[in-house]
Amino acid sequence: MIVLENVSYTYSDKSRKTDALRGVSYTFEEGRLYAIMGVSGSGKSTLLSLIAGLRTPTVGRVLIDGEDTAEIDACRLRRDKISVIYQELNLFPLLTAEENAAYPLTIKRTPRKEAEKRARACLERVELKPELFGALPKKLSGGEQQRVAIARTLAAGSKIVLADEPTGSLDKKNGDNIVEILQRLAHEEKACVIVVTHDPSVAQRADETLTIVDGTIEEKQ
Amino acid sequence: MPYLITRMRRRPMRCLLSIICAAAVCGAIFGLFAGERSMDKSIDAVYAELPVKCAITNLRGTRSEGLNIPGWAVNLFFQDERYGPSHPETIFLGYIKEVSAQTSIQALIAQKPYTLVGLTDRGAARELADGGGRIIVWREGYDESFFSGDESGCVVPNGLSQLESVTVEVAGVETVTAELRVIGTYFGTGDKANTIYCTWEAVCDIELNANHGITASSLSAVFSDNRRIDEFWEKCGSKYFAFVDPEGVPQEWGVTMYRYYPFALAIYDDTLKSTVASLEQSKITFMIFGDIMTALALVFGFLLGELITKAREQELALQYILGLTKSRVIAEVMAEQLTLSLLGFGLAIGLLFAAIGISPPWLKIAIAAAAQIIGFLIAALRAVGKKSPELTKGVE
Repeated sequence: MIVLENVSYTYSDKSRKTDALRGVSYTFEEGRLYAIMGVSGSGKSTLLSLIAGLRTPTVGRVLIDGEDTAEIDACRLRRDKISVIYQELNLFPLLTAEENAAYPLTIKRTPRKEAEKRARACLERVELKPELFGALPKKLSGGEQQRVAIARTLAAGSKIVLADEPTGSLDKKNGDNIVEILQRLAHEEKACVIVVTHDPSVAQRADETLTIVDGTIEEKQ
Repeated sequence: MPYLITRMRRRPMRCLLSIICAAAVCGAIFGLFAGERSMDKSIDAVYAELPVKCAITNLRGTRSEGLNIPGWAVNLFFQDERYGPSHPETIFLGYIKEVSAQTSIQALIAQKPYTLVGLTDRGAARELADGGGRIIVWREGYDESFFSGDESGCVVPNGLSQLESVTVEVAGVETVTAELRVIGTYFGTGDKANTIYCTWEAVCDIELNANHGITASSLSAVFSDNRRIDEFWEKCGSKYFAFVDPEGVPQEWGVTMYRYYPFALAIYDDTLKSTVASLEQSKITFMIFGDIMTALALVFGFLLGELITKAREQELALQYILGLTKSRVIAEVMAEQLTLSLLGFGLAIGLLFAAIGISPPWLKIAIAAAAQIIGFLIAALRAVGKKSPELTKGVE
């Protein structure tokens, strides 16, 4: 469970300060797919970074299973509980699809053979063609690369999946497939899946949709 | 280190570049060290093989023959108490070898005046040396090694060649007569056609019997260890001889025997000094370039690290996002670079050792390897040590 308590985040540079999030409070539950919408610069991606422990709130707290992300080892958090999927550049360019999917297991020191066996199973679950298991990312389409990234999330066993525009560079058919997989991930694996998107069709399939306007959550559906 | 080898195998060109850079740095250091060693060997060879002579001369250093060198000075070179008083500090023999000396005494042969010359070797008389204008025809069983012995023989001018032996009469404090067997004849022109050449020992015996002492007309030697020339001069030479002074100004000696040094000791080491100086200069050049190369290893490491981490920015960020700590990300980058650097260094050491067969400069190579790794580490820290948002900017 993710709890945001009065979270604010301010970007500072030499000349000015910009408030990306202002006093956001919200609770994300397990087993649900959330869509976060909003115009560019509204603070959607910042929110994901804060939950992933890649940024620390300027004010307020982000609690993951009751632990404040500012006080715990954020790397361990991402290794054990959180997976992040971006629009692109999700995969190691020199590792095959199978090796990319197995990566979270190998960093947890799972024996190589076992990790690769589990990775293959996860790749099958996201319906990647078996002949592509040994392919490098540059040989995969955008949709196939996103499937590998989701398979990596499955292999890691993360209960929180943060996806930043995962369908942004995909055609409609591939985009629908990815959303369907994410939906299954939330409902079947009981994961908390938060998707930042501009695509209303993604929002339609979400269990809850939040809209961020000027750094605050304006609407909940 | 997940998939370290796999990833290295899949970017062979970048790995090759790292190996080549490391091998180039190591090879340059090893090569420059080999140059330094080669200069050392050349310097040793010059010291060991280049003959450096010293000779007693007049004070100006313009004349080394026809001197009237007293027995005490002769004794410094021969350490033979027959020649004169011995000196407690006389340790010339520890520093010199191949003493070459000439002594002469006036004698009568069948009432005709001759000069009896005693030589330690053929070269002690300039006119008998190669190109000196006189050629000796030896009688059977003799050659120029005759001069280094103590036989009572002599080499006579062509005019006396028909004689089997000559009887010489030397008038000194006492009159001494000696019979010398003719063992050779010399030919050639010159103003010493009435000279008879004998061994140093034979003439010394006659002279000692006639005058109860000897004088030498020339005295020189070769240094047995060229590295100890300065020590020789400081400990021995300067105690008995002045240094050569082109002005010829008498230099105070301060012993009771003479107020001033009567002779100078010329040391002909100009060639040695200039050759060694030039080799030393080359050696220093090699050393300086070796040190520069070691320092450049740091820069190479940094530049290579910057290049490599720049090219891997996305990969490093992704590792961090997936939960590797920054220190593990750096450790992984370093493990790869360390492996490649060690390969490069090993390759260079192996090849150069096989080619030139000298032991590598381990310390310098270790410093260079460490410098290269430190340079790379600095680059890696710069790339990965950024704040999280900056590190992951390329992926987010």
